[in-house]
Amino acid sequence: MLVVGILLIVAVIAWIDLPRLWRKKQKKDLSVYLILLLIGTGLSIAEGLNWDIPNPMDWLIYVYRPVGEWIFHQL
Amino acid sequence: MPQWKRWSRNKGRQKPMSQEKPDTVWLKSDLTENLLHIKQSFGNSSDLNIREIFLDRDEKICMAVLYMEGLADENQVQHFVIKPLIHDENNYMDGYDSFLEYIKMRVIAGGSVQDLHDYHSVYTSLLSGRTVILSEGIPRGIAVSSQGLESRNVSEPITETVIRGPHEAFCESLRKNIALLRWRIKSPNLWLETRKIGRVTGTNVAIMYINGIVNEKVLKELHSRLDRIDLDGVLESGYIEQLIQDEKYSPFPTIDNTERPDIATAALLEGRVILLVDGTPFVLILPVVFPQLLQSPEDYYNKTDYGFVRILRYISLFVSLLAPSLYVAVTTFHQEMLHTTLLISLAAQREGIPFPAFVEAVLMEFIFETLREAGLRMLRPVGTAITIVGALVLGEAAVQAGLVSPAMVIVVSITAISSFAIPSYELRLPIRALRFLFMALAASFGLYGIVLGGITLLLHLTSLRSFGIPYMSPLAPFNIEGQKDTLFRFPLWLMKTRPRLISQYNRVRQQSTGPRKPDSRP
Amino acid sequence: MIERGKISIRQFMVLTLLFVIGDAIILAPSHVIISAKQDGWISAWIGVGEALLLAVMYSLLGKRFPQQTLVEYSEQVWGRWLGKGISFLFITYIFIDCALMTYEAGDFLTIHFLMGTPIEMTISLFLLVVVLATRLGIETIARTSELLYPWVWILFLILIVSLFPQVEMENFQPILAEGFSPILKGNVYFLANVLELVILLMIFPYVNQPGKARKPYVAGMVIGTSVLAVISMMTIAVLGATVASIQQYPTYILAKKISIGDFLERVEAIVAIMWLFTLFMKISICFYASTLGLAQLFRLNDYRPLTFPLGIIAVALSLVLIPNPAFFNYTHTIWFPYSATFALLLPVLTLVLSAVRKRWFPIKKGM
Repeated sequence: MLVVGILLIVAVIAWIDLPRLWRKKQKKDLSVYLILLLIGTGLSIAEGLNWDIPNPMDWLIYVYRPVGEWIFHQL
Repeated sequence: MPQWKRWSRNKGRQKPMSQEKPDTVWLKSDLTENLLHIKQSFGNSSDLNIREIFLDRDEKICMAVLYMEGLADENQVQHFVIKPLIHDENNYMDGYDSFLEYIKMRVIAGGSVQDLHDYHSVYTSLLSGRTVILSEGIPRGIAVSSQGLESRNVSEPITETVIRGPHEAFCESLRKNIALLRWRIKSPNLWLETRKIGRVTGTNVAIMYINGIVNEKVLKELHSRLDRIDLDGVLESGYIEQLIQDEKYSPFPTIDNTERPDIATAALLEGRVILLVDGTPFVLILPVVFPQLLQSPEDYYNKTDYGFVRILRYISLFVSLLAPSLYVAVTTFHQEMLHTTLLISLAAQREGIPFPAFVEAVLMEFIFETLREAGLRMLRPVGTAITIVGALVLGEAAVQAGLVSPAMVIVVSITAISSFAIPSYELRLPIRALRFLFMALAASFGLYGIVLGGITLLLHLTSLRSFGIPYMSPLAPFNIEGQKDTLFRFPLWLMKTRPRLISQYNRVRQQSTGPRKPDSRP
Repeated sequence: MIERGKISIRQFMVLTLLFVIGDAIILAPSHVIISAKQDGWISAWIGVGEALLLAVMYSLLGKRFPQQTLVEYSEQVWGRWLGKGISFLFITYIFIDCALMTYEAGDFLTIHFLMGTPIEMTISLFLLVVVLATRLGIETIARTSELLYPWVWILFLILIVSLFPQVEMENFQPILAEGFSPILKGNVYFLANVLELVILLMIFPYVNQPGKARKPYVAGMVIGTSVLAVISMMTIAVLGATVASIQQYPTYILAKKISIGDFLERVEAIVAIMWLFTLFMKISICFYASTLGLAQLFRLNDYRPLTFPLGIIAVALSLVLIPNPAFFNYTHTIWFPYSATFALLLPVLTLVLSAVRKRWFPIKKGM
């Protein structure tokens, strides 16, 4: 049900911009658009179904936490 | 571009182009043939009058006088065309290369005379009320002015009334309307361009502006937009408005209209362009900005109130747009925002009501809008009765019956009253429709929905342009000089310049210093 | 150029100001007070001074490349591929900021305003409006900000003035009880918000008089941070440091305190609405900047088609990034170093490198 809803929204969104991009034949624009749309759809469905998605925030924390702790330690 | 926009464009492309302007057919030398052709073109319509006259005693020179009954003034035709022709005993053609030329220069007593060479110009002359004279043996004709169609006289404005100010409105006749403006602006710089729009109706449309003040870019844009119109008939200036406005799908008016000559004059003086359409008292004003729709001519005729009434109107705009949705939002989502006493009294009122606040609000607003629409279409005397039945009986009975709460009735009444405080009828229409949208938002998301809806509305309004002028100027983009006449109304002697974006070259409007007390010293 | 719109100097000032206030008006006092307690207001006012310095630095960068956005000129300065990489990371920074703020909006609304409405709904609705704004372009965003601007001031003044009767000066004491260390820690939290101003470097070239963009930028930043400092002061003065530090949204609690006479009560909606306005402006600018940046990175013809896909990603990402409200507080510890990478390190290096390049290796055209 949720997946159908998300797909419906994506379809509506594609209907707004896709035909014009298709007609203009700008390959780069079209490919970036399609890739982003795919990522968006995938992410939403995965999030909606509560799949385990790698969290970019964890990576950021891994990189920056030592720096942050060092700064606060200095003060 | 979304799919649906493309469809509508395709439809436009497939439209067959019928009734093109006919190829030029020149007049013949043979009078009988000419008359026959004209008669056939009009389908032998009986209001086409043809009077044949022999000019000389030898009955050699035959002429025909043609005019449309009703469109032409019979008196004028008789006195200034037929009578001189019949009584002309001179028949001297010395110095004139044709007989028709002689008549044109020496005989006809009409005000303006024009040469005709083809059938098409004969038709347009006849249909605009002129009298056409054709002569045997000459492939030309002349048209004499004799327009005499009675139109409504200049009368009081119906839709825009003021307490102080001229009580005079445009009428249906283009000539009279132009004269009303000419009479107010006695300057040769008031320029006029006329053109015919409408493939079948051939309606006269006049563009008026003050040369030297008007923004040339706007004028050029207007011309190109008018050129693009391809339409069979223009019955009201609204037809033109809808075809030349900037944003196709916006419900907000980007072109204003008025039936008051003084408003039109003021617009001309600010550097705007006026579009007059034959057959309607409503003239178009462009470009128009949003704050202008909340101004009334009386703001300027009375002494300044420093913007008290203006701000009242802005508040009315808010109230008429948001009052029911705020009520719905607060009673369904944010009860904690109300004062305890008020909350208890509201809750007590709503106790026996079977509907949720949203349904109640939509129901009442719907009934009210129906009432208003019914009142508009009814005969005048019946309209009052409807109002009484609707307002008093229905409202009172609905509360008594426990269908709606008294608070809701109050909210709807406040909304209605505020909406009538908006001077522009054009602006009331989108506000009325958007009110329902905001109620739906309030019912599903409370205040959050209203705030987001409000931001979207602002985004839409700020993205609009009227002939290139940002719609919300001088509020956004902000212009300090423009603030003297937007939310506030500064004293007249302080408003020294014209609106900045509208008139770009000639901006200084006045240099008067304002009233002064007499010197106290003797 | 992908964006043809131009904004005026005043509009740029308003945008900067609303951007600074942004989400910080409701969040900034909390972290500042947690670290610095009753001295939080000192941290905030130090932050105002730092904002001034930052604004000067950013406008120097903007002045050096008056016709280009950061994404465009980093390719020139850093070379093609390194520049593209840096730009991409910068765009992800903007986008993550955007997603975090979206989450904030959803979180605040579900806690205080719309109990029972799922957070996905509120977030989606918010981003729908943001996407619409972005599609209409920078001119429309700037004009809308001009219309919202007076309202933000009016609501802010109502809030401050009506809180005056409840100010208790004892709440500020003792001053400097634990030395400067906590104040500086509080200041770091405050600064993390101010550093986000680097995002406006994406809008710099669209000011219609590029030479004069510095003044409004500096003014907007200083006035904006002062507003935040005043709010922090009021929070301490009215609520007291102890109460304020346990609240997630102290400004909202602050507004609940308003009570004048017996009738002007429960006007916390004032804060909520004001915050929605400023937050909307900030998210819109961030979203606009990341969409435009992405389009410039890939040299696309238009950024508008990207708005809807990115909108979906932002909704999903905001829920992925912050799986639960507790995690949200955790992110604040790394936000300063993360911001500083792009807001301090990147501009300084870019400035230095561009100066070096200009001196010794003149920039080749068409690189």
